[in-house]
Amino acid sequence: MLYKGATAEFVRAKPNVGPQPSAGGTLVGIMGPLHFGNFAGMLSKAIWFGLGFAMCYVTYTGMRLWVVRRRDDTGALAWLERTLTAVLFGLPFGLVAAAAAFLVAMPRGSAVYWTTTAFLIASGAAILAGAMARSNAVLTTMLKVATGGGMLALPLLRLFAAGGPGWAEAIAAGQPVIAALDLVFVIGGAWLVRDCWTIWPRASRGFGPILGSVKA
Amino acid sequence: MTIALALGAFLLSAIPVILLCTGDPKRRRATGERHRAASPPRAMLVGAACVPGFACALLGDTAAFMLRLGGIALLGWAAAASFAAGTQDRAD
Repeated sequence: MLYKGATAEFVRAKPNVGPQPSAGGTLVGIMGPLHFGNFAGMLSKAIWFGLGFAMCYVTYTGMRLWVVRRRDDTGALAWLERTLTAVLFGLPFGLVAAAAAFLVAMPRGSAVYWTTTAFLIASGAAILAGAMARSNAVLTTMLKVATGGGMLALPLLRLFAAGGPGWAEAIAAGQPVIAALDLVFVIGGAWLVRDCWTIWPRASRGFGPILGSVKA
Repeated sequence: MTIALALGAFLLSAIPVILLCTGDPKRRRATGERHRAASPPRAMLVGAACVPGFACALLGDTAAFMLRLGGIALLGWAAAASFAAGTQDRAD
């Protein structure tokens, strides 16, 4: 919006690009919604999150396939396998740790410091685990359990440490996203922990269904 | 209206996508399954999966079109990963 500085009189709506509305301005305007998926409420955000997750998963499994196919040829790629695991599972672990630190530190007024610090500490711990773990399967299990446990704890921290609203209160205030995220964290955390419950038998025959077929 | 249209288009597209996934010839070859008799041509299923998207576009609801496009891509990936995992579990 353009206003006259002297009189505060409205002049005209100014496009994002150029002085007049144009196709380029429209394209720039839709870049944000198309990137973040915030154009049709929670549903579009959920779908966009799923697409981002799928892209990460496909990238990870593709790189793992490449490594596992070459596992028998040379043992020199073991470091790459561990690096992949430390990055893929260490990053969510760091994010969950940062979220937990934020919820704990927010009431004390030190959230800005501890959110970043917790991410760096968790990332360092993941890298250290990558270097010290007995095997890649053990490293994966450790990071999955830590991330899953953290995700399960997040709703409790939000409620009790940060003094956040309950589901009924949040929905009544027009914030159903709070309840939705709690559910996502609980389901995601339970899935990660449950997956680890069966990780040891899997580890003996390969690694997961997709990579197991590669080895076969 | 947008959400209802997107969900309707998604559900209509989901059926052919699931059928495409169940009859995936590459996965079936890899697991040694024999060809299934009397399945509809895959090109027809691809066309059927695209029709609801075209309908959203023709109705001018771009948000519904994008929701269906993203949702069906996600469903296709999830279905392919699940079928592959299920087949591998049975093989083990």
